[in-house]
Amino acid sequence: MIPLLFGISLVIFTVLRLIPGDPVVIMIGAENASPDEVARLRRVLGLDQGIHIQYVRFLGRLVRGDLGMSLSADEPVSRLIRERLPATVELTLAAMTVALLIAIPIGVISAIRKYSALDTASTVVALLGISMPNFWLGVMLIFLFALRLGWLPASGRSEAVSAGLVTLVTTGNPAMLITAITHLILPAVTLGAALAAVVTRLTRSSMLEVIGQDFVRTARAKGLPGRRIVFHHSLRNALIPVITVIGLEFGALLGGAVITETIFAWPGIGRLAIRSIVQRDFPVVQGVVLMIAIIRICANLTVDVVYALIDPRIRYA
Amino acid sequence: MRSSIRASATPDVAAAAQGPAAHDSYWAMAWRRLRRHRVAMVGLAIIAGIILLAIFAPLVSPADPLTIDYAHPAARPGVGGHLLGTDAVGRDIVARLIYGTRISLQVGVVAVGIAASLGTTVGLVAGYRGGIVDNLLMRTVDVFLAFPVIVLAIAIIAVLGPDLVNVMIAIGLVAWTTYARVVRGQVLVLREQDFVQAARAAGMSDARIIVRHILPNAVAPIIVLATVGMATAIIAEAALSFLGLGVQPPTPSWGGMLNEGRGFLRVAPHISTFPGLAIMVTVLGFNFLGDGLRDALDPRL
Repeated sequence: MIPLLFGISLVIFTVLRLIPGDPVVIMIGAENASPDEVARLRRVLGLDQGIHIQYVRFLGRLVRGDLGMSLSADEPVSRLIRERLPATVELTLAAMTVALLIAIPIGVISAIRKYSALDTASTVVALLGISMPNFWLGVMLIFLFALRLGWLPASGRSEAVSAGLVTLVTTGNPAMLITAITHLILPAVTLGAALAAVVTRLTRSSMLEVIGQDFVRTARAKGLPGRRIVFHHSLRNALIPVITVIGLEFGALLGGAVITETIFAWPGIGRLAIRSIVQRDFPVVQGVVLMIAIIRICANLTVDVVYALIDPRIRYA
Repeated sequence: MRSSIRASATPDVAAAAQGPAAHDSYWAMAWRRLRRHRVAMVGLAIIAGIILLAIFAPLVSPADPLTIDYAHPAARPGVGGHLLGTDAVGRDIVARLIYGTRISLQVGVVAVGIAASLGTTVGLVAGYRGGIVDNLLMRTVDVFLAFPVIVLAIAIIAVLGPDLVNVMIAIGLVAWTTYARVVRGQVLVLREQDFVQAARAAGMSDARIIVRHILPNAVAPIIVLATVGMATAIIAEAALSFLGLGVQPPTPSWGGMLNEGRGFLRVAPHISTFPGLAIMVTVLGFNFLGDGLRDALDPRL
């Protein structure tokens, strides 16, 4: 994991230094960029040093949790990220929840009632879902549910859902929670749709495979109720490959969040990344990309732990 | 030496020997299996249609994609003689969709070409050499895989600047890792097989063994990946253009058209709707064909 992070930091550091355009000139504006002023700022920011020295310094600060200063916002990068990370995490988790709540039940029913009308319908919808660009889905959802029907807000985030929950528990007032959730629904569906499609198909095929095995027939032969066979014997086994894919898709979800956040003006790190790239604010881009990579690696570790919870045969020494 | 291709295909031929045409080549049989795959044929038809539209765009397009109809800006479908209406400026949407096929296909083909050749080369070398080389190359793949595809592509575009060629390069540079992984896996199996041992014993150079004996046997998964990769590349191009980082206006690109329509969603939702449908149908076509190819090229599955 450490060498991986090292490689990631090296790649992103190098790529961003190749960006044309002097960040200092962009920072203070081309018209008031006198050579003296530019030279002074370069020294202050350490940009006058060789690129290898800049990298070593960057690494040194990184291990202390210091991601440097933003060039455009005059704020530490770590603070910019910390302010926006909860929004992205909330969006990603909501998208995953939406996806799994839709996909796993439909996948299971499709497998049990193979070739039924519902199975065919879910296969077709899943295929469309995989082929649909999520930014288009987002735009269409805004049109339908925000502009045409007026049921949900078109963009923005009000408060954190967690904050809404706290208010509900402490004061008994659900208004804040409801506003938070209504803002979250469209972005979460947009982001989760593709994952839902993938997981539906996978759950179906994985269930079908398990249902065809001998121990399921044995369970049926000894007269266990169908519900118990489906949930206790089959689903548990069928979920292993599903969890692997969810772990792998988590990265795609974070990438998709960049686009989804842009469409819905969601104040997360994805939008921060796009804005920083446009402004050539590379300490911020660097920090965000590193953050995303770290989250992905943690997600993969979590998947390994979840394996062991679901399948007692898997043990890590 | 060329016979090694056929030699390694023998098990497949033997497995299908019950069929009427046991003497046919692996590719002929794969094609026959593909033709029976109804979904794949639908995909192939969609793709053929799109390719024809791209080639004959000037002949089939009802209008010029850049000409502005000042009398009918943001016209609804059917108004002013525009079948699918016009965009916010007054350009015919059908024409722009038809010319957009050229951008999507170009980006798809070139990006997949870059990704497949880079990834295949890395996979071949890593798998065949093994040891430190393998380790180093595969750790590089891991590093690339840690970045979300779109984030890395955006970063590359930020370096190179947004235009058509750079979009192709960015998508290609992001997508190569899958090929490297899959090809390496194939090579690990192939290099232990008897015909490779025989070639080595006969004093053949490594480069020749890789190109003549290993690569031809690893082609099937590469074809499947490339087909599905076309779909991914087309979506990625649309996403980048949607963010304003791809093909620049006024060139008609489906992602760009979708983005241009966003501001007029309330008054003219059709401007964003049709490019999205075009992307979806095209991507569906490549996914269908990819599914069929997977079944047809790998009868063991």
